[in-house]
Amino acid sequence: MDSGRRKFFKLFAAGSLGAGLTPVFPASLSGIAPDQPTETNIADALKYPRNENSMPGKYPGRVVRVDDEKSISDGTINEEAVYNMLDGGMRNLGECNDVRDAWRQFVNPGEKVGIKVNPIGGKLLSTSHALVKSVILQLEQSGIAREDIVIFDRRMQQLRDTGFTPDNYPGIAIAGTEHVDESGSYYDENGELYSLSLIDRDWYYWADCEMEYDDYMLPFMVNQGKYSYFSKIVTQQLDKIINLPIMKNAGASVTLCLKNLGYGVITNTSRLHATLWAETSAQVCAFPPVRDKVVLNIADGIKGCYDGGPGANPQFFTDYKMLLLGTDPVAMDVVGYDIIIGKRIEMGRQSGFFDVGMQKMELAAGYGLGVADRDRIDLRTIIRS
Amino acid sequence: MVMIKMYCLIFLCSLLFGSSGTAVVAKGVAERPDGLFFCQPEIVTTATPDGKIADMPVMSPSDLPGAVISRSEIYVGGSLWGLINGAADLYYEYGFDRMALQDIGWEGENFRLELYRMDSPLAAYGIFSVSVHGCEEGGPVSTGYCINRFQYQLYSGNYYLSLINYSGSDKARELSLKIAELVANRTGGAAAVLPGLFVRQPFEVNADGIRLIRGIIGVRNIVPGIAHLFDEADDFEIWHLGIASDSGQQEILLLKSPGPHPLPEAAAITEGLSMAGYAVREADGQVVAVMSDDFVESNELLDRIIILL
Repeated sequence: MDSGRRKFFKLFAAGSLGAGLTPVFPASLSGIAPDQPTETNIADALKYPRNENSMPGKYPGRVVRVDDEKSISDGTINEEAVYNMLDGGMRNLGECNDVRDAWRQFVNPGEKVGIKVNPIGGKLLSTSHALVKSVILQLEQSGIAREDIVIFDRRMQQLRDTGFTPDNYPGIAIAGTEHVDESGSYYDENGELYSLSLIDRDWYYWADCEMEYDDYMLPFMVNQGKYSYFSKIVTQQLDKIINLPIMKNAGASVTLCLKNLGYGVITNTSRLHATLWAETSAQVCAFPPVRDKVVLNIADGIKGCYDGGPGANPQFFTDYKMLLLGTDPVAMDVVGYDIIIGKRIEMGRQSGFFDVGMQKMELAAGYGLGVADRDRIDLRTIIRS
Repeated sequence: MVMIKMYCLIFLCSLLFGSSGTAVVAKGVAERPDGLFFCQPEIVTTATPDGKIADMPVMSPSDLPGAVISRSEIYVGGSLWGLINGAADLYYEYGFDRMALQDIGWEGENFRLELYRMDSPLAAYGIFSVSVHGCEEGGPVSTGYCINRFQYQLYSGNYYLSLINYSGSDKARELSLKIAELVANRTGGAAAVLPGLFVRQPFEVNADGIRLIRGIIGVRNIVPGIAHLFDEADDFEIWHLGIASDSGQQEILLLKSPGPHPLPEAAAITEGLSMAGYAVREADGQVVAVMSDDFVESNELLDRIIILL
């Protein structure tokens, strides 16, 4: 291997890497699929008893798709249209006439509600402000106090860069595990990473692989080794989480509900990208801080992409002009997968559907997190205009 | 404690006297007993008076009269992950050196300039080849650039440029050309050498569709159906060409090692491609594979390719 490539990292994996075949994974005591390349502590997660909020939530298998041609025009998002799409989608999901009743099925006054956005595409392709503001407005209309709402992600700097700031969201807390101060430094006056105080060492995802990071990368990984720690934002600060991913591809798969959570709430992820990309997305979501707190998923498909994801390459952008809503992140990802990969095929970026793209959804279904079988998904479509 | 105070003083001084181009570098990483890390920060000011950041040929106000460059940053090593998260892995796979990022406001238009310096012209071509699509003007091989409404991309020497405008207007396009020309003039060098097979008849007409894959991420993105063959491989190049013919789509893969030695595990890869439905043959340490809707046609095309090789 060319010594100049990937010279920043050394990857160490115990055991042999699997053949990369799509696992057919029945739920089991160990949680480890026979073909899983690397051992993890998923079995620990599966021991925790489930509760009424646990994934797939109130409506397993149900996905509401809301289409509106007027939601975006020439790059400008129509905020009113998005608000109305969200309103209609929530009422359909909750099967009620008043959107406040719909929201109150998932959140209650007095609870700390986190909104997990996706800002990694920068200003070009991040969870839209039109959607976030609509969610906040409807939460407030449903009795959630503004001071009980938190917009969060891993990376504080990216949140700022994409406009998730106190100025734009007065009264709303903005939180990032990889915290930076106003000067842009990841380190405090003692030379310690701010993020060290924001990780919860009582909750972790352990995987038998590790990667050595250089000095530049460490602030974004927080720690090396075989442990990925959950963010205290998720484990300690929030009661409920609303997940707002964007409709983007990731190669021949998608980065949607499961990925936005799986990689968005833990540290030390680059080592997992290389060996456990799909497994991490599914297994992290099986841990109670995620499984029992994520009550709603709203996929932002007003503007998305079909290639170049999860980054932002404008020539692969497309206006899907839709929202997807559901409590079941697995079913949401399956529906989104069919749309995004269908677009890839239409645009000649992929010749067909490949099993590998469904891997994380099938794994997650095996852990009881939702429905991956298309025959059991209840897809409801609302076409507004 | 004295060292910490000294570093803090340097840190604070840098905040006071830092200029428009900076890079944050963590030095002196020490491992704590709990396995977490204690890092002593140091801010390195890298901007030069003519706007260069750490020897990267980016824009300065004198290049673009009246322009406001509101952001100028350099990303070295693993720090690219901090900017684009997992998308950085693809750049590392090709051979990444550093990236300069600028936000530019010029004549009422706004631009985001990302200039990647890769470790070779081939690496620059590779990342460029998988990042372009549907060029309204230009073509990756024929011209080395690709222009679309919101983006100008080019590769030049070891550099890959992505210049994004936010309006998609004709004026933005015109200004993009000026910026890109300045970059191109400063980044000339050796060009990537593409396999001769693809730049002569009968494939020359399709040459702009050639894509270079250099690792498992690229394989998963472009040919996911055979990704399992490369899970443990890290010493390969795949040249991918899609052709539209009268009978449908054809896909040609040329698999080789990056060096003069034969492709490692060529026999296993050949067998795996065959099982995946490709017409495939091993020749001179390389593997050539063809996929189309008609297996007979695939074999006929394969025969012609082997003769050309």
